[in-house]
Amino acid sequence: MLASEIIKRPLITEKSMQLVENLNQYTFEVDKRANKVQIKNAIEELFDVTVTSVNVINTARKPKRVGQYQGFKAEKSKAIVTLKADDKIEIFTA
Amino acid sequence: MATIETLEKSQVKLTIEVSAEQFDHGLEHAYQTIQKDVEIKGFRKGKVPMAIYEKKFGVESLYDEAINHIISDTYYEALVEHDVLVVAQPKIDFDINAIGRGKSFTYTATVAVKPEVKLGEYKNLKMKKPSEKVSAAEVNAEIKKLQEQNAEMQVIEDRPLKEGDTAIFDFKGTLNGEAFDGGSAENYELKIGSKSFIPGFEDKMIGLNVGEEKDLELTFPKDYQAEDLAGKDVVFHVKLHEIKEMVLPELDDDFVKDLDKEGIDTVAALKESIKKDLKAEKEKSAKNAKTDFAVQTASENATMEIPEDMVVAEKNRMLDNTKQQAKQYGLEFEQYLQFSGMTLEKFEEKLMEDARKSIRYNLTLEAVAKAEGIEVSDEEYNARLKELADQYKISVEQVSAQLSKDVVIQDIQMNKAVDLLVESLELT
Repeated sequence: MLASEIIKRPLITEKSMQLVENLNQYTFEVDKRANKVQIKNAIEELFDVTVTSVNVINTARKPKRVGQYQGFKAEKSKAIVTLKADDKIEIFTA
Repeated sequence: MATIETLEKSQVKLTIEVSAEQFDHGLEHAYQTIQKDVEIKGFRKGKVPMAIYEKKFGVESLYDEAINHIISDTYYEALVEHDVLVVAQPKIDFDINAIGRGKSFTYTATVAVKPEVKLGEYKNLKMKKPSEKVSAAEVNAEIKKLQEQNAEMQVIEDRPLKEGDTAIFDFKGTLNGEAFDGGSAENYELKIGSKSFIPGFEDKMIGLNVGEEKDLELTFPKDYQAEDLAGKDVVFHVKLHEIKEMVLPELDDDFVKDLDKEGIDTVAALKESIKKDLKAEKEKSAKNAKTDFAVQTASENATMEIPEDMVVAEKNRMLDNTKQQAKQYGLEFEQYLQFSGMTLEKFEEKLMEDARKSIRYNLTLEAVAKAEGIEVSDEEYNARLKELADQYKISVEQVSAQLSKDVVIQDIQMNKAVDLLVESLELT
């Protein structure tokens, strides 16, 4: 898989901003099929930084009803990537 | 940092430089003012960091607020720095393209300042002495008025209608045999000789007896307000019901007693009291005339360049006042305009004139106060406060809390300047 396929988008929320500030950790939505090593390589390739650890959270699908149709909200994976001290990813800081 | 430049017509141009830090500070301030209302997904309302906001909406969206904030700060600093006394809102100019984060920029503020007043002749002005004498004829006219107010209406039956009587009658006007709008009434009360009907109507009614009917052939005047009637020949059919005559009460001590005025029960005393009232009235109006003349002449003799902005500011203040007053009478401002029969433009024009005049007067008086070295003592200040407090029925503390000392002192100075002008008048 390509790096740009693995990393879907940055998750920018109050909580993720806190992680950036306090722990130098950056949160992304990633492809469900990717493993931690692939995520690590993809981040290093895309943002030219050194990754020290990757934590992944899998969110289960949730039931969702639209009118009479019963369906699900898609499953997704979030990756919290810890960078080497002093490394930064610009898109989170403006 | 600001530089100053004096323009004509009592205006100054301030060129003010804003440093990059000041601008950034302005941006931060701008964001603080809007932050609590910013909503972006992923953040609770009001918790969005500035960086995220800027990324989504662009830093440009903060410029307006930032510039306002910076200008209001630096503009007042500049005023203090150069000791400028402004009298109107400034006109601010800057190049929007020169603005950006981390960049300094300059703007200019053009503003009207208090004009320099060159006093002309203001002391010992010559004025024709206003008359303060009360003539016997004026007193008699007043007494006649009193008599008329207390007159009785007497029904007359034994003689025809004559001038000065009040007639009660029906009338029906016809134009080419047809009745027209507003041309008929019943039991109408009309004082003959009051000229409230079209010319000829009242004259032709003279001589009628009670119960008599008559056709009056008349022509409407050419400038009559109803256009379809103006200049037309019409016939009014009138029927007289009643004649009343005003009977003036006899001017004697009994009449005076009936007036029930305290301490006055003879004709001579009444005359004396009326004379006294008239005299006081005349003295008052003479005093006003003197004040008007003195202030007006002094201000006409003085030269000053009043900036247009100052006049406009004063006009707006007056306009607001008028609106407020209209509201107190329970009127919408538009209604008020209607009542006074003026359009907004005409009204504003008039206010502009008034504003110009009042500014001229005030500046002149101020200059006089300065030239004469008029000082205001603490006693005078306190006395004035007391006076104001009595006038508005509030305590002295409340007055001094609402009015700054400078305003009151200036007010006293002005009054003293007026007194000085009036006293120095040379009456001829």
